[in-house]
Amino acid sequence: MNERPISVYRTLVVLQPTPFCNIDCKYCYLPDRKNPNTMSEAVIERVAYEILSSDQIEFPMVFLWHLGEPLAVPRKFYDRAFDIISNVNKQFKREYSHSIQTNGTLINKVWIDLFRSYDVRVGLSIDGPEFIHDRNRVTRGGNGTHAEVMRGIKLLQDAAIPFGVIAVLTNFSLDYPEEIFQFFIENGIDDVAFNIDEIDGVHKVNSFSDPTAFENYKKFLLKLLYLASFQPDKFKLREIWTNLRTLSLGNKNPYNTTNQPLRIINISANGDFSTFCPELRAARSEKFGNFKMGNLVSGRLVDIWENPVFKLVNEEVQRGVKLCAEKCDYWQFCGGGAPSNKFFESGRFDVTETNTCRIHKIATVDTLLTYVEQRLAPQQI
Amino acid sequence: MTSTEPFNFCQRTENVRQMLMSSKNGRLLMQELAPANAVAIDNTIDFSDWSQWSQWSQQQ
Repeated sequence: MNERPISVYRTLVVLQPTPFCNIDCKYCYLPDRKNPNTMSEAVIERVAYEILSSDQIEFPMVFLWHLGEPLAVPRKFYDRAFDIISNVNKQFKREYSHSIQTNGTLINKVWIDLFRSYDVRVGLSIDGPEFIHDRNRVTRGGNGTHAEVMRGIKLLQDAAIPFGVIAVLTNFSLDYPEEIFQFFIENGIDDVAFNIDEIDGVHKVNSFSDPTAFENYKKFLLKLLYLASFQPDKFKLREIWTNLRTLSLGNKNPYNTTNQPLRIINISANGDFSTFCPELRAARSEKFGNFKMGNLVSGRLVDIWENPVFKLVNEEVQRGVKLCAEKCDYWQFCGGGAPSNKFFESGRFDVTETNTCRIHKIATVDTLLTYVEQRLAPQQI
Repeated sequence: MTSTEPFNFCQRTENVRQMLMSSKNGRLLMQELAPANAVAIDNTIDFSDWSQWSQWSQQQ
């Protein structure tokens, strides 16, 4: 059995209450979004037992309900699921929390009550102002969803429930830093993470493959940082402050939860599970099959160490991480990159640089360096 | 991947680190860029450590 990595990072258990999603975002990587199956109580109980009893996991940990639209199931699903997990935990007394990553369109007072009752942390996806958001985040009929998401945000804010936002950037978004910044400021959204449109799962095209994207992204980010400097404490960007910590303190042993076994555990509605990036649940490969590394109804979490798919994937992932450590200047900021980006871009894990690395990590770090130099260098003279 | 920037990346990051850590303006800039306490949505961040870092940086 592998030694557990020494880490203070929390284990993330990504649970799929249902594969179904009520909307049809153009860049979504999930393949099964019309499937209305839900995770059964029997699966939830087995998952809870396997996770909470495990000595493979760092506690406290987080149950993140995602991999479909988590609010597409009835509220009573979570009342029951949370009770089951809580009851199982009576014998283990583990520390954990619940988190939901939602498209926000279905938030209503019933959900607000759930979030408050169980202290659920909420992550919500909105790509900025309507003319940007509605290009990609659409219904199956092709209509934009911005207005529905804003209704959800208003309900969260009225109830004083904190939430973080993930905004997916496409190459189109990069021409509108002022509009994106103003949108978040005007709507009181101060905790923002940018994901980029990337090749994942069933999403086979990437607007950032354009050769101009690297420089455009840097210009976009630099503009955003200067805009934010005039509104201190009103806008914090995950990509900046996470890299800032490494920049200020250094990081000789970088750690990336997406490429280390069992730091992220992805569990489908039927109990199938895998580790590494959640996006790999949408992958298919001649070599690795559907990336299923076990089933928590018919097997144990600990069986993963002997699972042939896991062994093949892990061996190749770790080769890729080692290559990153040897070859990449940005290693200390990154810890080896996300296996899903490597796989979806090249069909392999034992590679280094990806287009996503170039934009989301390298361009970001370069921009942060430039920004700090521009803000501080004149005062050093 | 080697840096696309014009001079040695390690030297550049070290220079910027010194700017941030060795002056009051550097520490103020760090506080400007970082949240006092962040909301975890994807759990890739070690918030307990960040909190320690934040306290530490304010004490310097």
